[in-house]
Amino acid sequence: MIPALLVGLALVDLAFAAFRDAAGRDGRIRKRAFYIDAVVRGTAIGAALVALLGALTAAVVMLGPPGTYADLVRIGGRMVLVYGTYATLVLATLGVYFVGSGDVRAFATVAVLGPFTWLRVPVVLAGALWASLAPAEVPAARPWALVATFVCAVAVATAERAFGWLRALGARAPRELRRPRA
Amino acid sequence: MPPERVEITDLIIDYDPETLARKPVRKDDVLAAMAERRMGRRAARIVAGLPDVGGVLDEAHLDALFVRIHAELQRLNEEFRQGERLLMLLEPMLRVSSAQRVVDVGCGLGYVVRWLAAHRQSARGTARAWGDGVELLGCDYNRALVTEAQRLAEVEALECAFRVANAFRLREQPAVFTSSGVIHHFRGDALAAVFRAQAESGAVACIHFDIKPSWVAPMGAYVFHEARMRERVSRHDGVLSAVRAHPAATLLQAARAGAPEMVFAMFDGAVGFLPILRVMHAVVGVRREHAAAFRGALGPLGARLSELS
Ligand SMILES: C[S@@+](CC[C@H](N)C(=O)[O-])C[C@H]1O[C@@H](n2cnc3c(N)ncnc32)[C@H](O)[C@@H]1O
Repeated sequence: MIPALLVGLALVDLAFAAFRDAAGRDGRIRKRAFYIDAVVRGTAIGAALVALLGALTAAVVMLGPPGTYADLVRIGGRMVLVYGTYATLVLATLGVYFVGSGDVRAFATVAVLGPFTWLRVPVVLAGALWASLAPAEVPAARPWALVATFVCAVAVATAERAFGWLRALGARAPRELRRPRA
Repeated sequence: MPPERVEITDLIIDYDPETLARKPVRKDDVLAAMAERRMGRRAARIVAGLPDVGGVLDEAHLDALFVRIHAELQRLNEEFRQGERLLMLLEPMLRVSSAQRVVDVGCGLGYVVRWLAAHRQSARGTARAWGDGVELLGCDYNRALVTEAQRLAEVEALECAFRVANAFRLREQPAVFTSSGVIHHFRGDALAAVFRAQAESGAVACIHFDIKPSWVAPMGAYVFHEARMRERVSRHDGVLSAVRAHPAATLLQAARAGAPEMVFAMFDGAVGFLPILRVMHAVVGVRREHAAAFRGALGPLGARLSELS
């Protein structure tokens, strides 16, 4: 359950990161297709990243002492708590943004969506830190679990930047900026 | 007291006021002006990092930078629904005045103008239809932005036009002047001069939106621009815009002094105890003869407009 929740949270987060990376790059008025394209591509890249991190975590579990998996689940439980709360707040506010009108909408953006985007990296890292303070039952397993935890947290936290780098590298993105599809 | 801090984008580009030709800008001059204004090391680093050709800021690089900055700015305008916000006031204004043209001053990439055009085209033939036959025109000094605005309009087949021009020197048809995020660039006497130039160029009305200054505005702008903007110049200038935004009293005083033939009021001018609710306010002006009809046409929205005087 906890691994599945963490995978789900990471995928949603990476889809949003892909949206943010695309935002502010295309000047057209109607650009739903452009955004959908960016989010779909971003989610695919996100899924690849999550798969990679999953493989890495599996390797850590296999190489580590017995109890590593249980320790990871203990840490992961706390992470789900932090990231789940964050995600629920953001998604609920986003709901308000889409349903609400005028002032409510502005309030949702200014008071929550903007600041929460700003806090995203600190929340990811602080969540991992607090989670890694969970009492360990098998002390020998803790260093192994910590490596997996922080590699995953840092990878997800920096993924938004990575989207930007990928965009700069790839031939597709600049073309979209200069010559959007009609 | 040192002269006040200004946006970096106001310093790194310069035009001849008559011909609107671009003038070369020397990096050292910008850095000296920034030092005099005590704009800080961060701002100086940003400018120092801009490429130059023999000490003159590289024009092609600046053009690309301005287009990127304004694309990011458009994202904020989209998020704050700047198009809808303007249309709320513009539609009744067009209904009661004889204006056949809307001129957006300092249109940048022309987001608001293009949004209006797209909206008008999709509303045509429905109960929401508005502004039939009204020309939508965006003016800016910056050729790179105007060219990109024109291209974007063509890509989406939007009925609007863009021009490299001083918006107040068009002298063609009676117009409603609009702007967003531009009015705080005019300071002191230049602010009243804008309203004078506007009235002299045949304005029937004007709607100028800008950030509403309040105790939270600079803080909010900081968080928002850090979260949303990639360009360092945008992050720097976004906060300064909130700091430099004119209070309602300044806008009204300048407007009334500059154009006695019009009456003015603030839309969403009240700051209230939760200033984050309404981040933008607008100075709204109209020729005296249309004032009563305009207020009537606003309907319930009139509650958000102060007294026209
Ligand atoms: C902050 S930018 C515009 C932002 C744009 N309205 C937006 O919301 O994205 C201000 C622009 O105003 C232009 N400008 C200033 N005075 C003008 C005038 N009298 N006529 C036309 N453009 C003007 C400048 O060239 C500059 O590009």
